[in-house]
Amino acid sequence: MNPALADLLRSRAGIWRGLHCDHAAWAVVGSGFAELDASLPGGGWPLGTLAEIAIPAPGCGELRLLLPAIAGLSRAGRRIAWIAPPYRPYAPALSQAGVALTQLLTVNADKDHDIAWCAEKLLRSGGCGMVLLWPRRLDARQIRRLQLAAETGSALAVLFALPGQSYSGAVLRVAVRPSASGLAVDIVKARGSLRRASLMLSL
Amino acid sequence: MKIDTAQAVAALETSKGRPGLYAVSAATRQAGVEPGMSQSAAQALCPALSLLPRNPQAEKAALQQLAGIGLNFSPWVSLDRPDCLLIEIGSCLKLFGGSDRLEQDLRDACLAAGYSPVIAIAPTAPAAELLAGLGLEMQIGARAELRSALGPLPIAALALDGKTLGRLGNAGVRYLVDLWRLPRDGLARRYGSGLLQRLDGLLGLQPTALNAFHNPPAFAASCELPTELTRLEHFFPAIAQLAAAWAEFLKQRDAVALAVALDLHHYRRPPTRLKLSFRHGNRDVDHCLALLREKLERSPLPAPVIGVELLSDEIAPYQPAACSLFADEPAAETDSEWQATLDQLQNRLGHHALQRFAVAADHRPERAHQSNAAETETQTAAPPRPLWLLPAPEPLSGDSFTLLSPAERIESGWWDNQAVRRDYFIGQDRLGRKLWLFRELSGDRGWYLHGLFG
Repeated sequence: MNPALADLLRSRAGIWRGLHCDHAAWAVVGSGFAELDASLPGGGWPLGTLAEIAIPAPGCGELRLLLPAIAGLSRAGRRIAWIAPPYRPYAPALSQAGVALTQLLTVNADKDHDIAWCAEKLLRSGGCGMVLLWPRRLDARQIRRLQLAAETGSALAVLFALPGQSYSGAVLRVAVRPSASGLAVDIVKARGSLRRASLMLSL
Repeated sequence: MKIDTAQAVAALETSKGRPGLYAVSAATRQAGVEPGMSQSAAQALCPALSLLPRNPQAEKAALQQLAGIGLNFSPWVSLDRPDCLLIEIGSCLKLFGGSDRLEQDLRDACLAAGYSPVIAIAPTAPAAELLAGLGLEMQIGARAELRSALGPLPIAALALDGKTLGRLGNAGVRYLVDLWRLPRDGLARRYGSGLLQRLDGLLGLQPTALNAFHNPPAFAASCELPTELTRLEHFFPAIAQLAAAWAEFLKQRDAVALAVALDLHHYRRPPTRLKLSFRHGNRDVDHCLALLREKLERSPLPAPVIGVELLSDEIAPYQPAACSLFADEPAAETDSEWQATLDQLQNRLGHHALQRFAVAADHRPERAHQSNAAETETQTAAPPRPLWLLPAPEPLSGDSFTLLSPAERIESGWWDNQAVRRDYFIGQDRLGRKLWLFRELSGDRGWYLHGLFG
């Protein structure tokens, strides 16, 4: 686009540009996959947001999708909290992936309201860069509170949703499913972009 | 229990199977009742006399309270001798402006706490104990004056056994000065070396070793509410008041608390207790109150509250966070906030809810991951490991997966009876998930799922 035209469009507050956004508007953490970074508005996983990752079953590649971001944040000195994970996160594998283990913390909670409460506390504390949570059920109010907490602590909150669970309040929604050649990633919804993207990552 | 000593009261003690009066109040003494009298004789002399059994535990507690007062005057206070408190004042006379001023200040402090002390000052502890035991409020300044000052005291004050006392009396010894006139070797031969040691102790010729009393720091404060309250907002200010006193208590001692207990008292019901623990010692009022409020909001009250009590006896020295001289980044600030958040989580979810990650140097997959280990050991290069480990291996039928990798044999642990002999593979199931599976090399040779690559 003509730079003069772009400037003109930007100067008018009333003009909404659906498929474009200012990439410098918010902080991101690189996903570690060039194709994915190109499809995500802002060029990476956005910090200060609540993201939903829809998975057919636990262990379908969703952690490997996040692993480069986890490693990057942990080495940058930010903490990663795992709230109510379905299985035990395995330290040797995380160490192999270059994650600074001292920055990790698991929180064992059984009840859904405890899970939401812990996530909110940790996000709000400002000490966490990423909070991963595996709730069974969250209502719209809890989702909204988590979104606000993530903004307060400029952290990335990641919800894992199994089939049948869906959190429409999430700002970023990504669906993953394993396939023969790698991992199919669908960006269903992203703040700052109306574009739906489907891509295949080889993990 | 508070006793009004202005009334006619006496403490009763059973000694040698006979109840007798142990101590009497001044009003009782005026009626002619003396310690040692029998109960019936005392009641005949003073009909209004109220008799209470002696309570050794309350006496001990009172002495400990007095020892706490004594610690305001001297760093060395001893409760080793029965029924008396020894305070070393020689090293702090200058601070208090002489022995007269110190005695007056000490007396005022005791009177303010509700006790009327008998204070004797002497250069040796046994001499001061002897004088106070006889009710003589004397001040003996120099060791050279001890002989002449103690000389006129009756030998009965030495608390010798009855037989020795009788023999000394028969020999015409009435006062301590009489004993000092007798030759030492003869005295030791006739009455044993114990008597000689006792006399030497009085004069400071025989050293006496006594243990110093240390007040274990503990905080306890309670507040009674004007009426029965059920709503948290109504009785929480009382808790806030106690917490402020608690923080002040810790600050004065340069300490932090590791745990706090809050008791909510109810009418005719056992109190409700809420316990808080801090991962790192804490003395921050706001943090403590936030945790207490959190806890109170989630615990339903069994009954209206008529009183609150805050207790804290797990106390540790305060260790300020190390900060750099040229601190330009507020790292310590966020860290304390982070610790406060972890405190909140732990108090809500329990002690084992929070876990850290560490790698251990063990080939067995179950043991290579450690929770809450202090140190992380770096692992040597190993084939890829899964991100998820199942809590226990799950049996798997042989046709539900396809193998993607050659076998990795793990054979280890024969030394501690937890031997593992397995061939590990990476597989893929019908969903397309990458699995970490193994085949037992001994026993049933079955397939098991042990992890997921996530």
